[in-house]
Amino acid sequence: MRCDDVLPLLDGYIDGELSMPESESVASHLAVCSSCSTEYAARLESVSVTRGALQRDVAPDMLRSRVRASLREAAAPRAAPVVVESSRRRSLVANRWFPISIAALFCLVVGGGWLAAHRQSSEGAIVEEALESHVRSLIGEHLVDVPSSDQHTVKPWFAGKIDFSPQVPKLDSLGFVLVGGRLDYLHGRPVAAIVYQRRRHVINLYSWPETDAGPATPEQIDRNGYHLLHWGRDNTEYWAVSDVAPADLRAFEVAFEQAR
Amino acid sequence: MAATVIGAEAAGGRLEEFEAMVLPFLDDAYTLARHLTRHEFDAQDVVQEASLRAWRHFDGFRGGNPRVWLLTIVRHTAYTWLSRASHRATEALDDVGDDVIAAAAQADDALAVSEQRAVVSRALAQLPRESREIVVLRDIEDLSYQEIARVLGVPIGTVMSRLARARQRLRTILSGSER
Repeated sequence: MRCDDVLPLLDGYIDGELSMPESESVASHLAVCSSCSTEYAARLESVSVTRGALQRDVAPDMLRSRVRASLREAAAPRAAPVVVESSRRRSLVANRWFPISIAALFCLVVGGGWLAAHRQSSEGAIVEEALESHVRSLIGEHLVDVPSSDQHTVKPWFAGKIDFSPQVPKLDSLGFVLVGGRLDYLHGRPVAAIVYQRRRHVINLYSWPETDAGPATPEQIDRNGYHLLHWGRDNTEYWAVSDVAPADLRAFEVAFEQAR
Repeated sequence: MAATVIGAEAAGGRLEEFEAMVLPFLDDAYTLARHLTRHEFDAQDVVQEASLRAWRHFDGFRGGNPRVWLLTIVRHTAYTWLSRASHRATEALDDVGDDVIAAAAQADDALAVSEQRAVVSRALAQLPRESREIVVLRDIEDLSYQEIARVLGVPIGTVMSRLARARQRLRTILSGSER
């Protein structure tokens, strides 16, 4: 691939929207072309900043009531005026989790296929274990042991269950909502899995103490639509796994390191 | 009489179904409307109108992703709304007045938890509408290229090139504001 072919694909590459062969061609070009990889780094950085800084607005309560009221009014000639409150509540709750269960199902299908295909390869045992754990956490009913958006609930929960105290910063304002924590088993030892959610995507952050912890500059590994970010800080090993865009995962790492 | 009651109940159930399916995405709708109109109250009017439009067309909704469907309607409504509001002729031409940018920045400043957020919001508000909406759909609403293509009614290739151009513009503004 020539530079002229690569440049128009860079944003698609950042967003994980290229086909597998395209994505591979771009990756191998970036590995050898310094001008394109500089451009890629600049674009990735900017997209990470944008995605980290911009949040969805929350519709004001006033708007919610207005919409409800006007719908009632519009439906009035056709609809019975009495609305069964409880059944709507139920369906709303069901609907809230619906996208996540779809995502989980998708992970099961795609992730399961990938895991089966790759089990034979010995490369990157941790990568495989972390991915497997991530996928497992989504398909089962065991995403978290301690469901809480409060770091002062999640952090102390690990006391006595694990030989270190994991970092659990609150990152809501940066768009990463704390969902809870889970005890997991990776790399032959118990580890802390802190679960965050970015829009509809789940991020599992695994951490454990390691004297020879991973690289200071995060290393990104892509596997069939999943992204892993691996870094080490203060004798602690961190692995973040998710299906968010790579830029979001980088934004997560930056937010995490700044907040902890 | 009995038939009327049954009919009314069925329609009531239909409204319930609509609300359960569509109202969870009111935040998404409001976000897009706010960035398109760059005005919080205008955005509320647009969302209310779009919700009614969606309800009227709900019988024609044949499955698919309700969020994408709602955002498509919000976008159409916002465009119609903006072109109708003749006193905002400059807005319709995407010729952004300083006061509009200042107002957007002020609104964002009030909400901003970080300096960076205010800076990026202000930069986004300065983009032409075509660029702004695609950045909002991708980087805030987190839609896939396929979904964006559906909302905008353009091919995926156009989504990719338009998004690259929009981000380039944003990057230029942001690098200017650093200096």
